[in-house]
Amino acid sequence: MSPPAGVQPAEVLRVDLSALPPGARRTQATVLASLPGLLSTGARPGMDQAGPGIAVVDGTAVGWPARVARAVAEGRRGVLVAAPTTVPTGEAADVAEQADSAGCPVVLALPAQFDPSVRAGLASFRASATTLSLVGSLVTVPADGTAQPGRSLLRTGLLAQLAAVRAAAGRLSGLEFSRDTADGYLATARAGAATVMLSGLLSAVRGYLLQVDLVGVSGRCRIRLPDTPTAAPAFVESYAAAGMTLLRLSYAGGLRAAWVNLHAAITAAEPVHYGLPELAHDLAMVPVTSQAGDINDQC
Amino acid sequence: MTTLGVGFLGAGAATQAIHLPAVAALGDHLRVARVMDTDAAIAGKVAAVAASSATTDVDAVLEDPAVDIVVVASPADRHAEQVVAACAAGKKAILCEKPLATSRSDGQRILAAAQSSGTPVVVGTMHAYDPACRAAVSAWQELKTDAILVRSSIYLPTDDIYIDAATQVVSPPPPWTIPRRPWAAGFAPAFITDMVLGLTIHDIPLIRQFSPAVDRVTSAAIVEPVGYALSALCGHGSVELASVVTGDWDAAWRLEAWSETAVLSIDFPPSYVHGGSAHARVETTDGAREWHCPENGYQMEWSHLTELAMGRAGPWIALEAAVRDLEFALDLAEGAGELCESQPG
Repeated sequence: MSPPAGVQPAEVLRVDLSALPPGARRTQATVLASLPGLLSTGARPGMDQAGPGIAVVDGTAVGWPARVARAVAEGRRGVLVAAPTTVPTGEAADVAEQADSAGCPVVLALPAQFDPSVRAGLASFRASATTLSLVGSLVTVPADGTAQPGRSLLRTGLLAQLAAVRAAAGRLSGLEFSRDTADGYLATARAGAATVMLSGLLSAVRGYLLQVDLVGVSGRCRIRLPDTPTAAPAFVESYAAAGMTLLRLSYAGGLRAAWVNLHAAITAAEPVHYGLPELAHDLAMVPVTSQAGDINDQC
Repeated sequence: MTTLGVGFLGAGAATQAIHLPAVAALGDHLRVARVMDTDAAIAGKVAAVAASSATTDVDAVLEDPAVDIVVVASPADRHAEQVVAACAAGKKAILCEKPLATSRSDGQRILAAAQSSGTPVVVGTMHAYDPACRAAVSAWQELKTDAILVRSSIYLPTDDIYIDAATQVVSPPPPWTIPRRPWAAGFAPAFITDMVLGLTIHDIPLIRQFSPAVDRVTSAAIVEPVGYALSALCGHGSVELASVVTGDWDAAWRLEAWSETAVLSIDFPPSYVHGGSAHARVETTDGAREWHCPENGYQMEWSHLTELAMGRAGPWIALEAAVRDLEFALDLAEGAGELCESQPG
């Protein structure tokens, strides 16, 4: 489809998926194929094949910030971190500074931050509820019997949870853990005037589940995030005087929206919804753990 | 057939919307014998509806030989003395609206009186009698799995909506309110205690099935428009409670228990209404089981009370356990109150 007369077509940016493991590469390729007007993994007529393009970094790899740093140093136009996991706060902060100096946008693809249903639902909730007073969130992560320590799995869930709550309620402060074990955690924080209650646990039953409840003075809202990086919709239920409304489902997906955000950040200098500075802030609130083998040992 | 006479101490919304319909449903076994309220007009109107006689005198109910079962539905701070007096009066059974009492010592006083007289006492924590809920908790217990997290989320509009749906009330209860900040010293502990003993108490017998004792309340806050949230450590598990009322939204009352290998979730109907049981579900890696019944917790509570008064059954919930439920609730409320009081603003 051609753009309307007078509208410049968007610049199609080249994406390099070569650093991803096969499964993650397939996921990203599917999403990129849904944005042919913005991004491409292959050669296109008129596309600058020799240019630096966009790098995609595997966020599940240990030490992934170093890979981001390398991509920034190579002069990439932007970086997307797929499925980011927790890293030492200092590493995130250092590479955030480096990317900022280089003018290289880095998007952390945590779908909760980008999901179109969630963003639309939150805008609607904020417009109707004058004051947010309580945020409750539960995340469960699969207890899959792998060798990965429970707390390390839970930290990845916590990262997604913090990003989701940040999208819902804004920047958090004063995160305090009252329980933080290999099978679950319980924490509280503040988001402005609102009390935030966070819990997470391993579950062999539900697998991955991320749910956020928002309670305001004049309404409440429940968000349930999809458990896959596909375009499965988030469910946003709004509760008000007229009853419950399930907001229109969007099958665009958070990952696709993350790519659109990165494209806009590169070509139109739009702000990144969730990038390295936000990650560094969130990680700085998470306590260092002492569990052997836990990737958060280094935080 | 001989019927048992029921005497009410307190004729407010709970008596009108909850208990009179439940007694009517058991009309083959029960009849309303006396209605007492300190407000003579309310006592008269409610007694007239129930084709009974009215009084403003507690003793007139307790001394009435036609009264076999006493329902204590008065303000919470009167419960202890009235239950103790009903035990001493030799009644066949007592239904005490929640909370059983407002202090540990009153709980123990009730226990001693009931043990001494042999009077069965049922506490009106209706969720503990909800048939779907009981079946689901029983199924959970068969799994022999320990809950890591128990969450109680209560989001309710004002009571009048559901009272109006359940009856034509002659005396609506006052709504919950909180004053503008800054709050006076002592407000937060008193408010949270009121909410825990008035609302969350319904879930406490269930929560204690998973987390028997409170080690420490770790966070607490008063939540606007009218509510509170708290978290606590209980043995190897954690408890998260949130109750917010007078919001302009549909009722949502959910209890969840999570272990690594099982999830129990119960969605309760709002108070006052007779809309069937909760919807309860237990999920494991092998699949899910669900329960829902036409009877609600109030009806089952009354069926059980009738059986107790007739001497046909033993108690589903021992009074000792009900006293421990009260103590658990007070542990939560006092811990939360202290935390709130120590926080700035």
